[in-house]
Amino acid sequence: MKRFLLVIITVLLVGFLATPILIADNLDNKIGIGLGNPYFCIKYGLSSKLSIEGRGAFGSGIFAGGARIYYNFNPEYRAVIFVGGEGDYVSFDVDDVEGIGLVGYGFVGGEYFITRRFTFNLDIGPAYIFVRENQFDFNEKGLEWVFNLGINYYFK
Amino acid sequence: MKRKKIGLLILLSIIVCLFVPSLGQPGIHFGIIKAIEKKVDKLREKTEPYSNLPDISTFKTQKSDRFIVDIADICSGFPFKGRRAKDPHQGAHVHFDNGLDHWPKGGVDKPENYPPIYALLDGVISRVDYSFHYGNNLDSYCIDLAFAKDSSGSIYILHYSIEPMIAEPSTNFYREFIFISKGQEVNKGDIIAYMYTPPSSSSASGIHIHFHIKRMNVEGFMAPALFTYAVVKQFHAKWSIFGYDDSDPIPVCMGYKLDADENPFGTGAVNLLW
Repeated sequence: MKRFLLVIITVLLVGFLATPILIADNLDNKIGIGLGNPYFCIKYGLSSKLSIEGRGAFGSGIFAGGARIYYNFNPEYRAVIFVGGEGDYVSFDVDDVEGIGLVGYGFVGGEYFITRRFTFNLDIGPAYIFVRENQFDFNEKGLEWVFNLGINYYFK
Repeated sequence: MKRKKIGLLILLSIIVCLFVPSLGQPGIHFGIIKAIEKKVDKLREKTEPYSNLPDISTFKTQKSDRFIVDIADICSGFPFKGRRAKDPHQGAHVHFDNGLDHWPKGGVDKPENYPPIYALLDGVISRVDYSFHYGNNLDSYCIDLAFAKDSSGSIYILHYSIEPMIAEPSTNFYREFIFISKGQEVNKGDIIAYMYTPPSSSSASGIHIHFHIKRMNVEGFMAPALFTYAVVKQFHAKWSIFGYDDSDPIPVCMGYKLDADENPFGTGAVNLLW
């Protein structure tokens, strides 16, 4: 299955790189909303190269909310390659374990403009996660690899 | 054309979702939440032992015949003296006398040759403080043993404050005297640490262990009334000059003139609790 995942990633990346079609648009001043695995986000283009994003991710008893910044290498193309960073505040209440935490995530990825408004994006990178439970003050920390997929809709 | 592309996007999303479960393997996680879940699961493993602790009311009748140290090793002590005492002190003490260099045994300076300190009940080590600075250039080391909980979920711990009444001789010196770690499950009678008794320290130097019950993350201390009457009687026989509240002799007990919140069993204010 790992191999299958690598194939998907490779195909998508090659697809991104192999289709440098100018769509006569860029990310400057664009506002978009997105949904993913599972997260929701609001994205805004500060310039053609830089975008910021507020995002919230949720799972059974876990919420992570934070912000992202993207640097877009080729913002005027259908397939935009980016790098970026994300910081999140975490709160959790799973069974009888309750606490808070922090996440720092660095990523590389791409966003593919299926139409001028609809995009598909993926990113992958290392996340440093720190969580602490309230009752006994135990904590856990360390690096984990994270892979995200999502879709975005831009309003203009 | 546009519809075709949106359809393609939806199809791609479905394919990805079908393979989501396989992405949760160690090392790579599909989404940040999966990665956080892994860390929370590890936290749950750490807290799991606490869920099996007995109710505090158990110890109203089922007392321990294991004192915190060997009573033969101590030279004096006193029980928890509640707020209604003339001279309150919210913790019981056991004192040591090493004026004649009784320890380390055999003259070999290693932790095992000092007085052992025991887990008086089954439980979980909830805190270890390898060096705690207090007072005028004094360092102690501390251990918390979680041994019970109540119906509200509060965890009851026995706090051992081990006080050689000196500054720690060197960095990490006391660490060698502690034989357990945080989160470790222990059984009644296990040696959890050794009492460092500095050379030529007479009883006047005040080397002691202070111990009391407290609820985790809740203010206030309670009397460590966890021992059988026979054990408390042996302890009482050692109190000597400390067995007084001002000038009043204190009878056999582990808690003296307690307010209601100093009684771990919730049976109100009492004059004597053992």
